[in-house]
Amino acid sequence: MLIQGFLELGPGVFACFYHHALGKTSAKKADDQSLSFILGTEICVALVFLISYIIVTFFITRNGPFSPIFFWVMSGIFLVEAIATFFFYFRPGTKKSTELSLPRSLAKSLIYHAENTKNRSSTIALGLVTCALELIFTFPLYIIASTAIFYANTSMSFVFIIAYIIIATAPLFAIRTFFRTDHNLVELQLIRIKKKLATRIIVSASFLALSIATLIIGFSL
Amino acid sequence: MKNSTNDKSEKNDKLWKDAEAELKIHARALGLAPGASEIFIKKSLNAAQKSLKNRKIILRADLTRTVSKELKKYNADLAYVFENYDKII
Repeated sequence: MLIQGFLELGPGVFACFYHHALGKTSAKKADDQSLSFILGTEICVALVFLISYIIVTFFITRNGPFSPIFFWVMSGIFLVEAIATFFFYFRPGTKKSTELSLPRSLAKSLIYHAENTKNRSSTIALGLVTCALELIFTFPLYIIASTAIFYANTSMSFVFIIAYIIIATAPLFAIRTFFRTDHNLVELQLIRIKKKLATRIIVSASFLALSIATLIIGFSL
Repeated sequence: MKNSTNDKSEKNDKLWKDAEAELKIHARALGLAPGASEIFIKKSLNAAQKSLKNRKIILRADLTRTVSKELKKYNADLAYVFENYDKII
């Protein structure tokens, strides 16, 4: 959950979107549209959670409980992600910007769509797509979270899923509040640039901790 | 030959117009006064146009660099947003 809250693609696109909406329409309308973006992200998180839960349930009911190999593979994936987020999450050699290691054409396309959303449905779609683009980092997290929920098998599962969705979209709410309290994109960018190293360290350390935890679970089975 | 020269100047004109429209949106988003911002946007664009007038083809990167250099004299925030908007993600 913590990792998902620290990923930068969603907040970046959201900041572009909100800034542009403020420049084109009234503050009230921009504020209103921003909720559609957040709704899109929430829908995506809920859908992916559902899909990963179905996958986990299908495999466990069909093949029995996960073998240690599953946890070792997950551990390997988290280790690779820990290394990738520390060294390559932000585009190398860009100290004064928050450019991510995305193909530039894709980044430009996202910015273009953030600038040109015209109605609620296109804004929701933008939120969905942005969240889906983070799946390379987040999908293993959903799988592990779904596995944990499946094995926990408590009545608190629903609360856990809701908490996951809230934490995943918390940065977007924070940015929305930031803009609403008379701050602008420049101030936001300066903060994001300042906390770049912290983001890399926190996300990478969290992936590393997950890698170690899944490795231990694998050995204990 | 004449057609290609016309094409180039049309492309350049479009580039300047797009930049002006973009700057107006950024200025409004930053909460700058519309009248004042329009004046210094025009001044900055004119100054940038003068410094790039010898170039036959103007690249977007050249335009961004020159305009934001001029804009810094009037409003540093607007210059920053204009220069770094593509580098947010």
